[in-house]
Amino acid sequence: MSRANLNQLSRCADFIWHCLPPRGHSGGILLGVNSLILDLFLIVEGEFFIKFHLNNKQDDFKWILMVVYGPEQEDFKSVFLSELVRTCQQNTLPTLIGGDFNIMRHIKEKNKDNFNPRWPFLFNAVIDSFDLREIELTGQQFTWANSLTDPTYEKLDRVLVTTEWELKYPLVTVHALDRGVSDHTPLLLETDDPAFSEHPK
Amino acid sequence: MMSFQNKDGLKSQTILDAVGTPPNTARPTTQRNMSPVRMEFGQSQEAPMTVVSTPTNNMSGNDQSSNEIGSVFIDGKRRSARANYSYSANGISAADKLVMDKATRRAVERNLDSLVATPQKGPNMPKDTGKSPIDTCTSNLNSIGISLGSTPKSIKISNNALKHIKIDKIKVQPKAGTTGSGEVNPFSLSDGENSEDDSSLLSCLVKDITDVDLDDLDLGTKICDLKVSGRKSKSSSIKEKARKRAQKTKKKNFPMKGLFWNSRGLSDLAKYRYISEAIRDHNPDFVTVMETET
Repeated sequence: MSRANLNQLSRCADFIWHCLPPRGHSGGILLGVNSLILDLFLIVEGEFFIKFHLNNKQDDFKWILMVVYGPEQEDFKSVFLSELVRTCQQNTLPTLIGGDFNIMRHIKEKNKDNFNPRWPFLFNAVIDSFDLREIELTGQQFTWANSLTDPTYEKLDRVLVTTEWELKYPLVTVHALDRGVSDHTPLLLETDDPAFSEHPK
Repeated sequence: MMSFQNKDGLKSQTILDAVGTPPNTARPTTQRNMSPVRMEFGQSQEAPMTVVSTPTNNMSGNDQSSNEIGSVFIDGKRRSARANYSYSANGISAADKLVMDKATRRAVERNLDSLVATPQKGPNMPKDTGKSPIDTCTSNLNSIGISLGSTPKSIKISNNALKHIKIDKIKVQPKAGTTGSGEVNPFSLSDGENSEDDSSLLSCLVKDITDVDLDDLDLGTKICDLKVSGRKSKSSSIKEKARKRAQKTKKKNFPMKGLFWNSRGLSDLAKYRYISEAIRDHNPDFVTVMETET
């Protein structure tokens, strides 16, 4: 995608875009931040993630935005998890990790019985070891569906935060938007509950 | 022995008044005269207590002691030469006692010039003038129909009781900010303290009571002033706190939005438009798209 297209994508908003090109089994990640709100001072790229070290201009809150795209293939899931562990160990700032992990956490995150608990077990162990917390999804139970007549639903996309990040934004919510044109549901993250922020005064 | 009741605050006040009002005393002048030399419990602004602890010090303004010269050493301790030292069984010098008596007497004289029967000071002063306040208040109380007791011991006990009422009153007053004696708890009295400095204590009692009575109006207005200013500052500080809190919360809860979406490719126009519209609708601060190319 060309830079002109990206600028058009964000219209008048002053966005900084960074693209992790697709390589191997990863389909590429695009990450853009509003430069009027957030200062981008470091970009870290991995095989399955992009990390933005950001600074909120309003209150000087420094944090890490990490976007992951986990592989669908079983063979690469262990590589993905070990890279996730390695990069989480390097994070010194409050961190938000979001994206398509392609791993479920619980059996209830799938509407079919063929649930393989191996990767969920390891994934949960990683989440526990870094004291990450998943922000509960509202609006939908699953985030992905296949196009079969008897569709399989799974929750593959999620947002995880560190304790420090959650302390900064304790009212954060993640809401599932209309699925639209993809087989994945877009997730909208809001740090303030809209019910409370309607009357800013 | 008198009996106090909690409800009967007025009565106890009357008694204290009687204690504090010696006959022939013009109250306003007394009050005005003694204000510069007022003596508080636990702290002595003037010489008396200091003199007792360090005998070599000359009592300031005492014309007798100006005649006395130097000091002598007794048992390796420096003592004032003017004193004729003879130690009693408990080791307290009789001369020290004498000095103390003089000091308390002087304090009484300064504070209540007419309380002591003979205001003339000097060596000819009878030694039992220290007890005269008790006698005075006994007679005062008798004149209003209350008897402190028949024997000297019971008089002393009643006197101590009155003192403790006053001490309680002083303790309560600054906190409650009231001048009434209604808060005084007469049940917390205890008898049998050492009566060494009865007279000085009593003079303090008397002085404070007259103070309170006469300054009642002034005190009231002062308290009102204090309250008003206190409230002002409090409210302003609360406002400031609220403002700071508002700033803080405003800062802390500065809303931030983000969008995560696995688009399964971005090449077709529908997905491109979808993201564009999502950015327009939700105005996110960051946008992430996974699997930009399939």
